[in-house]
Amino acid sequence: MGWIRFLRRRFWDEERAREIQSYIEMETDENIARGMPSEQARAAAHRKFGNSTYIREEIHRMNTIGFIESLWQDLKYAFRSLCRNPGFAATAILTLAIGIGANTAVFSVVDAMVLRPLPYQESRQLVSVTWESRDSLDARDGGWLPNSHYRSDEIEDWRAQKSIFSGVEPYYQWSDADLNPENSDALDAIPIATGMLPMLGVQPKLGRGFLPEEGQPGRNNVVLLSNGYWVREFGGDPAVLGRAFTRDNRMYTIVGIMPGNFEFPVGRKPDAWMPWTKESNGGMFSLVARLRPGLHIDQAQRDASLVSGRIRTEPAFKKGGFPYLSHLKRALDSKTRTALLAMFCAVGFVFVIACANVANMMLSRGATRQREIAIRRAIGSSRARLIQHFLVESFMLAIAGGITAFLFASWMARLIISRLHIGINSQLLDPGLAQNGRLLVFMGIITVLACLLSGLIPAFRSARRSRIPGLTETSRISGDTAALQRVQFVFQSLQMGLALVLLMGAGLMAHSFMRLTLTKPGFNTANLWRLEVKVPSKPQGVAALALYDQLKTLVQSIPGVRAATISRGTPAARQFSYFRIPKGETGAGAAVPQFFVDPDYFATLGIPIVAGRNFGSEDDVSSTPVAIIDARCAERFWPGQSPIGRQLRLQAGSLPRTIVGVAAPVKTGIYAEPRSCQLYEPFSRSPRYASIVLRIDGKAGPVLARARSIVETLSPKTEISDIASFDNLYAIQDAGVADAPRSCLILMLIFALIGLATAAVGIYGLLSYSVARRTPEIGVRMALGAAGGHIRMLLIRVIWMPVIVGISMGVLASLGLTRFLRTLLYEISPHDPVTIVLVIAFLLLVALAACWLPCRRAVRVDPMTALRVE
Amino acid sequence: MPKKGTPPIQGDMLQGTLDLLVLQTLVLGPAHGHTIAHVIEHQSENVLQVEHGSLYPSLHRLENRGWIASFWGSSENNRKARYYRLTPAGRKQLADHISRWDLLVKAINRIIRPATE
Repeated sequence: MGWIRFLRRRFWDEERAREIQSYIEMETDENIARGMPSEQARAAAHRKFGNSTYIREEIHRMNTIGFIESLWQDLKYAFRSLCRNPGFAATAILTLAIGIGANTAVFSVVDAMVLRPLPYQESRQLVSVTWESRDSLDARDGGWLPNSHYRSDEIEDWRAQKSIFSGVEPYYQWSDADLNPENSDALDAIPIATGMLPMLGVQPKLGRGFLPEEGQPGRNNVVLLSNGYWVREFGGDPAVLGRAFTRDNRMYTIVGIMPGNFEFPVGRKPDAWMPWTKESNGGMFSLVARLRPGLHIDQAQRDASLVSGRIRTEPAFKKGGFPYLSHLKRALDSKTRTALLAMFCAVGFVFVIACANVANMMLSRGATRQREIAIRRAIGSSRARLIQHFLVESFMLAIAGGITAFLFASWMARLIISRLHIGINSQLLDPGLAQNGRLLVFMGIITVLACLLSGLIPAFRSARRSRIPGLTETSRISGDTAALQRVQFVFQSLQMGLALVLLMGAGLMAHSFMRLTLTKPGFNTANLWRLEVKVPSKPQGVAALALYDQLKTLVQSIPGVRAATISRGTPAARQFSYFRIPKGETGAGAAVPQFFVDPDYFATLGIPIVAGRNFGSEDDVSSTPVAIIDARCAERFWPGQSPIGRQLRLQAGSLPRTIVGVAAPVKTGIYAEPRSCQLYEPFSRSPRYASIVLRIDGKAGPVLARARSIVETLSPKTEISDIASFDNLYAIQDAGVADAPRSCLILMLIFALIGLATAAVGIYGLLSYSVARRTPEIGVRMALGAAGGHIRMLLIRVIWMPVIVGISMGVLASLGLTRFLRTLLYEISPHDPVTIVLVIAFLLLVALAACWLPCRRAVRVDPMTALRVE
Repeated sequence: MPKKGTPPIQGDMLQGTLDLLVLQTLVLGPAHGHTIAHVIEHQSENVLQVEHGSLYPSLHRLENRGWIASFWGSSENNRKARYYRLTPAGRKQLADHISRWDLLVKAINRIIRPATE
């Protein structure tokens, strides 16, 4: 093999030198035996040999140039040959590009969410500090949220533990925009302590970090912008440094811009970061700490547990809990993980199908290049050389495909993330494709894989022939067709099988999605309107309550308003809080939508209370905290029992809520699963930012206008910031916010269809080639009187077997594989028979369609022309 | 004897036929480079004079192609020498080469000696 010799040139050179030396010795001996004196003998031997240095150089050159020359020859030839067959080249390149590109796109998503190293200095020494109990540790499900602490003394106490931590900094994990998703003006800025950036070891790329005095209440109106936000909102203009902008009636001064890869908290790239103060967000915080250099986390954990008695924190934490240190890392919940994995497999299948297609195409081409191969063998080309030749050609195709893929993979990755809505934003993909070393390596590997998968078998097949029949045969019916057909059979059925698995996955998801959409929302959406009220003065407590009460009374008096209610959080709006239920009951925790509603809420929306009681005027700030949960939630956490009277604990440290009623479950969005719980609390307990929900009789227009004018006269600068109708929010075409199931489905469908299309093109190509090859034979048959149908049957038999085999194997494979999709499927079994039957039928239909054109061509063959070609 | 300084390989035709000669020499059994060189010289009754050194690139090329294989052994004088033997592929190549050589010779003869037909 040329390249082995190339790499071991020096070894061979020494070998040859030794060999030449031994020749000289032998010749010298002979000369001495003939009677020459020894010096003359040696001289004569050298003369007889010739110029030994020259010979050695020549062999060395053979090793070097021989290989490089052959490679260069192959490259030139491959390029010319592909240019001569632009159709083949374009199809092959495009097919490979799709395979490579899709894989790279999905990999970049996986990379951004899982593999990418954290952008902090020595991130292994950074830990999050939380208080956990045995139960809460057990109840973790991937997408874990750190708990929020209340007592700022805790920070000082931890900082005092200099033997464990070299730094402890607080931050708050939610921004204004997270907590008030209906307020489109809220700033998405995460509060972090002024010492956080130095502890993480990250500098802003422009401007400066936070100063310690900016961590004081009232002085923290400064922000560090994220790179993405800076580019999006300010066009990447460096002059914005030092300037101020207003959001939600507050002014923020820009002091710096963070680098593009910075994320905090882990897995999030908010628009900006601002200084955390003891007063912001009620002084709640989560903790990140840096371990003392050289300290291992296990040791630190032990030390922390030992000193936990000295740390001042909420009694609720301490009771049965212990401080828990864990490495900072991106966490994914099981749904996201499954979705990503499914996508990775799907795209992998598409890749194999694409490579199989190209391999098939190359095999067919190889069969028509028999003459050329025969000539090469005849003039002495070794088998290795032939294989090298073919591999170079497929390598060229793969490289071209890779380059094409590079161009659109970045776009595709962004598309995937932005559509997938699985809790990450597309900013996570910064820096882009070109600068990400891991991605480029992956692309390289995939390209080489593509080259090998599509080129190896055709290369070996072409080089395998031991006879040299091509020179003597003139007809196009080449020898060795049986073996060739077997290989193509294998490829074809492989493609069919993979396409079936893909379709099965997509089909199941489609079926599940349909079920989801058809489930009723759980309340009466007809003529129900939501108006978001924006009050710039941000009243709190009693003042707010009074304001909203007044608003409600006024609105209720508008003719045409059948019912009105005030609430913060409505179905179809993203709301959440994290609540835990102490083990003893079930121990699980969940992030669930939380609604603050007044007693008229359930009546207005038409949600029946199925157990217990509604909220009443007795439930206000001063009474025991109460809550109403929905029936599904109740069933999930207290199966078979009544939840009335039981307690829920929300953020640790807050008072537990007593459940007083159970409401019927509601879908929080058209595509949301009724599986998610709803938690209702009285609005009077937290009378902040709210919406009015109205049920209107008759024409909505005038009523809404009246309502708007009422709101505007209510208090200075009050206005309605958004109006939405629930009919629209729950209509199919408006995806709204949580449309993860739909996006996932769309992507799976796209991949499945791409795979199917590729496989179908494969069938079409194979059959066309078959027809072309057998034209003389068909001509003969038709001349002998065969009917069109007979010819068609002949051809169908060529591809029918691989299709049937492929489908059978595919069905078996999917029966085994689809159970991994269980978490993504809603009320559909992974072995749903309806889906299986439909998918098989669809595949058969497509296969049939792919046959149609070549069959038609075959039947149209004119016997006379066909026979003349022979 | 070819003059010192002239390129050892005289034309591609000689290179091709040199391969043939080497292969033929090895039919009778393995030999090392020195032996092969002398056999060719003597068997052709000294007509074919090739600088012995030019044999080695040829051996190298043949080994590259897998037509001959090499191994280290000891020679008659108990010196270490590199021996070559014919491989099955090489045997086949030899047969092909010989038949083509015959064809070539016959064709050329037909042209230059049409009278003998």
